[in-house]
Amino acid sequence: MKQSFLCLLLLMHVCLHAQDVRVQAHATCNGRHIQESDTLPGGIIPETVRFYLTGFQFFRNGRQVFREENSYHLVDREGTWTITVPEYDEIAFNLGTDSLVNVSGALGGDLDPTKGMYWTWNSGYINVKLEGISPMSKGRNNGFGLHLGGYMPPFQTVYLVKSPATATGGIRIELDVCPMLEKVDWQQHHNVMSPSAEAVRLAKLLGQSIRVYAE
Amino acid sequence: MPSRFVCLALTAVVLLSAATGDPVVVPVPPGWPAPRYDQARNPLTTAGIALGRRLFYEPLLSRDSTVSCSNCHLSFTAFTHVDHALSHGIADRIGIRNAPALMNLAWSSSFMWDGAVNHLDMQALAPISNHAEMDFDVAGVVERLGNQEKYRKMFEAAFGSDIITGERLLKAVAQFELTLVSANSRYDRVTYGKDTFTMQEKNGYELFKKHCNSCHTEPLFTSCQFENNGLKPDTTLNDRGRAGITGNPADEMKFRVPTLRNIEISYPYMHDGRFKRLKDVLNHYTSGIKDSPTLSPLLKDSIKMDSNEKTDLIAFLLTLTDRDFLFNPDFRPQRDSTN
Repeated sequence: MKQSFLCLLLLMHVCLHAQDVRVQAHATCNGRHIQESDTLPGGIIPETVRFYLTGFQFFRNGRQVFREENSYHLVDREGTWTITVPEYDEIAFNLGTDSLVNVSGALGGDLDPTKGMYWTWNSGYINVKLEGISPMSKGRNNGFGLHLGGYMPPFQTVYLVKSPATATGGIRIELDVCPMLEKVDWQQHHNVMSPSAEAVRLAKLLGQSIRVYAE
Repeated sequence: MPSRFVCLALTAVVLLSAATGDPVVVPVPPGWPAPRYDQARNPLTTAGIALGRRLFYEPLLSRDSTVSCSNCHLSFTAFTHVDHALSHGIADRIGIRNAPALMNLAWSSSFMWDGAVNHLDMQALAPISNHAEMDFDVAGVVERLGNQEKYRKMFEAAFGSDIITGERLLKAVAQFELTLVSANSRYDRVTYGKDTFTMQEKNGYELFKKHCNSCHTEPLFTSCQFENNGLKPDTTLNDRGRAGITGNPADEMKFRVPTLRNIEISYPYMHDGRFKRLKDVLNHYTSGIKDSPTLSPLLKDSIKMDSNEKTDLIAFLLTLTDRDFLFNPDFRPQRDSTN
């Protein structure tokens, strides 16, 4: 009885303090939002910048207070969505998809294979897809294609981001691609199309370049 | 009686497939392990199976609308491309592998000769996209199907709304493929006490259990594992097999162990279709094994069989032919009037 009462109190507390949090995600270069026809440092023209942000969790005083159901968001250069959550002071999410969805067969929504983010010759999601032209690339017509994915050891590319975030109106997540692009081996690895050590290296560089801002 | 159970269950699948959304469960033949495919995530219905079957025979899946799944997977030959060492896709492009036979897919843990695909749902993406096969993409297929009222109706019947998505397309194809259960060969009937082997078949079965069963494990006649069975590398193909997927040198020249069910009519054999006759296959195992660091330990000492024993073993292998499976009308293209 006492437990049910406490449970009810907790539920009321959560309901009263639930809030709509607007999540905005952007691909950036050195802090600037990447626009459609941008040329980045080094003359790099990014034609495709797509990535998965998944598994959103919210914490308060170190305890998880909310976990988004079916939390898979495909960001195509930029994306916005809303999550209703109780008060929190920290969030966590992944750049990329968890291993479970990579072995679960056909899925819908942002995970639908028509989104072009699922490999066809090999099973698994492409967690980050960066395509375009780089004057430094030894690829055909200076093209490059970085399809970063892999869910099985030793080539796991999902990257967990955890960040303090004060409970206000919204969260802005910026994935800065330029620190990673500076470290691409344009001679050897202008095309990364499979789970590999290079994919893991680049995915990690991207994960480290994520910034979270509370608004 | 058990084999009759399977047969009846399969027939029920078929009879029900008139045009309703009735639920269907893949029949598990007595003595078989539980299927690996999680049907709770993709519940089979008669309408879903009918849609998958229609899609299996649909050339719109290929870039130039000339090739369907059935071009390389013919129902009468256990869904392999009979007489073709390597299969051809659109514009007569030749691939690098022999089209595998399709059956008992609910029990498979991986797909393709190298296990590249980890789930039956996702398998169709590979041939749809492969340059030498359909050379198209799933988003393009979804768009094409969406322009046809016939398909919008079939998707509605199968999934409750006429919205066509990649997920639904792949799940429907998987539903049809899951019904391709082969479990009524003479071997099965003997197992269930409904038939008997000849002396020669019996000898062949003993030889099979001695030499083959470790990899071609009953009742599926495959261990679903990857093995290097000592084939000499074909330098015109340079196919690394499983190592091409994992990058692991320990997987060099390993390929998925194929089922031996319906082996009589699914020639030619091996991942590259190099052997035309079962006799060639047995001769490979007795005198053609090429040693290498990844060769299956079970083949390190070559198998010893004289020609009489080989004949007996082949007689046993022929008992794995399942005519009910091969000539099942529900696996062939639908007549338009039935839809």
